[in-house]
Amino acid sequence: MLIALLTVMLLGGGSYDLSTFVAEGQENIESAVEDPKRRQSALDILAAMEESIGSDNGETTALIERTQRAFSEDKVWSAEELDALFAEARSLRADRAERFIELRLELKATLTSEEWAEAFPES
Amino acid sequence: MTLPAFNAPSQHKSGLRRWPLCSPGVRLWLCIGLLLSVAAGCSSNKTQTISEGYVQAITDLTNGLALHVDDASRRDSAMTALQQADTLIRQAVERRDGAAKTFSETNADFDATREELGAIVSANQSSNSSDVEALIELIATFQSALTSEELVELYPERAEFAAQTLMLLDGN
Repeated sequence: MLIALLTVMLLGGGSYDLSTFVAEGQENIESAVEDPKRRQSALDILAAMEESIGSDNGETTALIERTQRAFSEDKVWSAEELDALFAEARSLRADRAERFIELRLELKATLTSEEWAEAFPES
Repeated sequence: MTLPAFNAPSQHKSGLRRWPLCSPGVRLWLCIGLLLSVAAGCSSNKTQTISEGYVQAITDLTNGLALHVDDASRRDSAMTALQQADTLIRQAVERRDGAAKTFSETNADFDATREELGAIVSANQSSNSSDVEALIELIATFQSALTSEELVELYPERAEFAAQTLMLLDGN
């Protein structure tokens, strides 16, 4: 039961897994941005987002796997262990969101509103 | 539908009868298990995030408790904790999906600010944090209701529940 609760409550990737957003931008940025320098900057930021998402997924997977290994047949979790586990998961999730927002703001500063609309027509 | 766990012999491998098949308490949890299974079918078209596999895992764990925990008081305590955990999980999934939708919509807006995006993250995390205390209580209640032997006996059902929830998380 613990892993179920941990993963859904704290590691749920749905909220900030914006890989669709990144893929859409990567697909459209070539045509949306004429200026080669800004276009490359935007692509670099999207690549950083993609890398960050992959890294986040790796960290999440590592925590889940570590918890699964500890989830032995007769394991009884203490309140201290649970507190530490949830605190680590919360920190991971907060860091993930913060990283994405930082990159997203960098991307916004690189593009005009018109370019943004063309790069992300479905978002 | 069939509930395989209830077709199992009511005699334990030790030869002792493991649970009173017709006791009101067991019948109640049988009904709850059945209702959970029915609910899975009914709700599958409403949301894609709660899978039938997840609900079946809840049902199996509920059935496992009925099969392996003789003491009615401890069994009811564990089952109540499980039901409450299920409710929390469903609420969390619903909230997660809502937060994801709101975040995506806000993120798509060129003029969205750091504060607006951060507020969505904070609101969701605050809700999660407020649930954590309740969850730790539920886990403690569930664990303390069972003996070491019962925890071991129920490991397959507990592991399946965890696995199904992971798939639920992945959207499978």
